[in-house]
Amino acid sequence: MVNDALTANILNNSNYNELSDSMTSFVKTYIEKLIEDISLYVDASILIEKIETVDKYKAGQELSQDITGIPSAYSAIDGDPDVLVKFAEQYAKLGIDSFDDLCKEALLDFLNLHNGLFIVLLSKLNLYELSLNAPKKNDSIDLTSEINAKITILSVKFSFGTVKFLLYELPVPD
Amino acid sequence: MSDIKMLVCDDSILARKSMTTMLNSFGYDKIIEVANGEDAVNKYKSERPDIVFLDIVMPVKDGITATKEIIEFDPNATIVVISSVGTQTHLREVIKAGAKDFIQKPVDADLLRQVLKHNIPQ
Repeated sequence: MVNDALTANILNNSNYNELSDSMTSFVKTYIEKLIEDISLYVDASILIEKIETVDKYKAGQELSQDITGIPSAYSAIDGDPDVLVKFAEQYAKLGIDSFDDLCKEALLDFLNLHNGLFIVLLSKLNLYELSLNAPKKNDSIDLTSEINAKITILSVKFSFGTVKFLLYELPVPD
Repeated sequence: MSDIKMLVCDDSILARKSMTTMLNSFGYDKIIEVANGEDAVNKYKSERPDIVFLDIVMPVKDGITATKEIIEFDPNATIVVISSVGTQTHLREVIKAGAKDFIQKPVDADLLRQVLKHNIPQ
């Protein structure tokens, strides 16, 4: 699925290959596309600190977007506000100096761009026809996964700090 | 500067700013910005812009519904949908709703220039 040497190299230098057998193709494609999009639109000098799966995730702010259809998923971006400010500034190429509405707009703009390109890729591969809900910003995240489902957290290290990307693929209803 | 009036509708302030900057650089300065599909329909009715740029994924009213409502009001409206969600299903819906063109985000300036040349009187 990876069609870019840089993306492949970043993934090979992480625990991606150890975990990939336990991931669905949806999650694997999401991670590969995310690395490609971060490299293209934010910064190519990145490392994946770790990929982990958890049952619960809590955070003091929510910057998220739902991917709808079958399968559907919850995606979010999280991290230390000072680091998120740097990420937003680098992506938007604007003078962003505090974790304010403009900064959150930039973070959600990136999430929306990446999620859009991800579902376009799935459509081109004739895998799934999915859609997106409008991005959301709220005061907190309090996620608990259902049985047989995990929340995947991808910690991406930039020169200015680490940003976490969350993907929770929702179980397909019977 | 051109007399062409344009309506840019996107819930992302960054996307609106980026579009307006590009359009300004092409010589267009009569640009109205709105942040959701409902405002786009209302602004279309009151301002009658020559061309409308609509995102798909937006709160309140999405771009495909807004396209249908604008076309219902004015079957000759020129609507270009600009979105990150250019899946096969969305492209079919966009064309069926009556949009003249589709641009995949991130917007390429050369492509935008071609789309403008194709869709507005020079």
